[in-house]
Amino acid sequence: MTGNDRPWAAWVLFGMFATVVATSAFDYSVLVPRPDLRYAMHRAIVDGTAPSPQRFRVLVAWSLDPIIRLAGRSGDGEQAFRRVYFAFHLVALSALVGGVYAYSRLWFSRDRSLIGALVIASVLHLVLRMGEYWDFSPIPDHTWFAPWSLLEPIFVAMALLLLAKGQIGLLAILTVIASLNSEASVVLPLLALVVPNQERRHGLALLALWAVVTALLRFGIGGFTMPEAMWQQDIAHLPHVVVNLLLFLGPAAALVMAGYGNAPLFARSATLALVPLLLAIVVFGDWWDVRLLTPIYPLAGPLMLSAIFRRPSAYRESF
Amino acid sequence: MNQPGRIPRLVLFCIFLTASLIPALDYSFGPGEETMIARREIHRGILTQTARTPDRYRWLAAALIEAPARALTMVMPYERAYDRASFVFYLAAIAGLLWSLFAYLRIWFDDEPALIAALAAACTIRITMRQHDYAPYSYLEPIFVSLALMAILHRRSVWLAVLIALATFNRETAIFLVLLYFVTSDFSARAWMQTALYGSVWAVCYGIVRIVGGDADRYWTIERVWRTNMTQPQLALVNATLLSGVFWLLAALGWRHAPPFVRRTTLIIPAYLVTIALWGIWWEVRLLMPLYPVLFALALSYLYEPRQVAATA
Repeated sequence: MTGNDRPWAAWVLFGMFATVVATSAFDYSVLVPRPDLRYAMHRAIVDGTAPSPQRFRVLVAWSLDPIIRLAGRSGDGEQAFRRVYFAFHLVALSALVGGVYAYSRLWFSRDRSLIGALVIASVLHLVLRMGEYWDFSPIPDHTWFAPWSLLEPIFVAMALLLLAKGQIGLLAILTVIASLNSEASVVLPLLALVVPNQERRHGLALLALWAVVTALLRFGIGGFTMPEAMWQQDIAHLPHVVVNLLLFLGPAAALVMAGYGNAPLFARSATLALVPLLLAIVVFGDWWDVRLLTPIYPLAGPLMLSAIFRRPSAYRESF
Repeated sequence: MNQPGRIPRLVLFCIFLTASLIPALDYSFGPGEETMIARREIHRGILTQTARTPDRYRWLAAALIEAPARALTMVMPYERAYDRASFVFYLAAIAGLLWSLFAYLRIWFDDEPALIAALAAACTIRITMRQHDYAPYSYLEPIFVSLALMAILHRRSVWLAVLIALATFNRETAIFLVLLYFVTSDFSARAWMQTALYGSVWAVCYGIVRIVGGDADRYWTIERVWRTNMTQPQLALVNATLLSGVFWLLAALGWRHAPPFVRRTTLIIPAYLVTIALWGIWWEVRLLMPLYPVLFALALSYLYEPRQVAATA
């Protein structure tokens, strides 16, 4: 604690989160070269005609479509789409930053947690970019619409908080919801398996639940195809990969690494849950598309703060 | 050794560099070829004293970019060298802006609140990079304001004079540094004299710039500026909201809690706003960046108990 801080009303924090992401949300919603492609992909997901794997990432499209229809009844459907998605981007990005804050808050003071969240907020634009920093070419068309990527780190942060509080029932509900968002939700049950002071059977049950929901979704909608390895394409884009990975957390990545050894055991163990996700990205993902790494954000918060504010004896490991 | 409660310098360097990298890349290379060409032309115009007013008289940023750009021409064409030197300039300027804001706020608050404010500024800085071709000087202005406030508080008169001189070669609005000194003074005879002295420094430097630069074409007449501003006042409102969001409200609420020195600095706001309302394009919210030190000091005063520091120069 800084010793001279006043208690804050909730609106102050919410206002700060919204302020620091508002420009990014605006850019990501409005300054899009081909908004029609986004609209088409949204419609295709709702209609079940989108390509695999986007077809199965239904949570955002299914949740927002009734609102878009309602808002579009009296006018332009595409305009309603843009406005509803702008609101979604603003709320989701605020929640993303809030998630980093809330998870860091398990060990760090309000101000320190806020610093961690703001460092993440300052690099968020990279995953929302519409052009590459290596050669300023536009990002590929199929990556323009990826609202699920904004929710993934929120689910990870929520799962960590629920695990810290031992609320496995709520985590099961969250796992089901996150499974409808994207397959990266496998991180949630894995977190239950790797963080300390958890019963392994809970983690295994959550993993089974995730597998059932994921399989049901694919059988129910149909059209599932196994993703292909992307090695050749990834290697061809190596300069993009290097630049984007370096920019992902920027020099703050050094702080994350420096803080690892000093971080609470819970925060260190949680990073293990990302290993299968990272392996899947290495094999099937576009390496240059660092948007796929957004689940790292909440995990990076406490690690980075452990490098900035070294006080290992003060960390608590049970909640 | 770092003092207890202080964030290590290396950590701060890492954080500010992280927060500056992507905005600097976006601003340097993001606006597209047309804007890049316009930037190079204005830059060349400043160096050859053929640019339009007011750019012609804003030498500092152009001079800072030109030296490394020329050095780079040994290994690449001038256009690419200019673009890359500009990127380094923007990176250093944005990081310097955050660092100077942090350093000023740290006078009144602990490291952590000061860093929160600097990072909040970093997160929203992208909105200042819109709707104009060329404005490297705008990223130096808030640095001069923060450093000037520190010089005033620490009674470094010579430093303040040097800052005013440098800031005048950057942009004519350096006159507000003189005004800042005056409004934070005790209005004694000595303060009046010092103000006159600082005003003279500004006048001499600005006189040199105008004499060397000569008369220039003025595209943005007051009438044209007004007509342009009237076309989209709502855009100005949106951009100003995106610039500081909840911090506008926190600053208004913080005025009552702020130290007397910080409250006095707010006296320049009306004069500054009138100036940019008359001569500036309202939706270019980069023009509001010099108010960062004032705005964030007020906002933090609402959230934290400020330290009491000797207030008058």
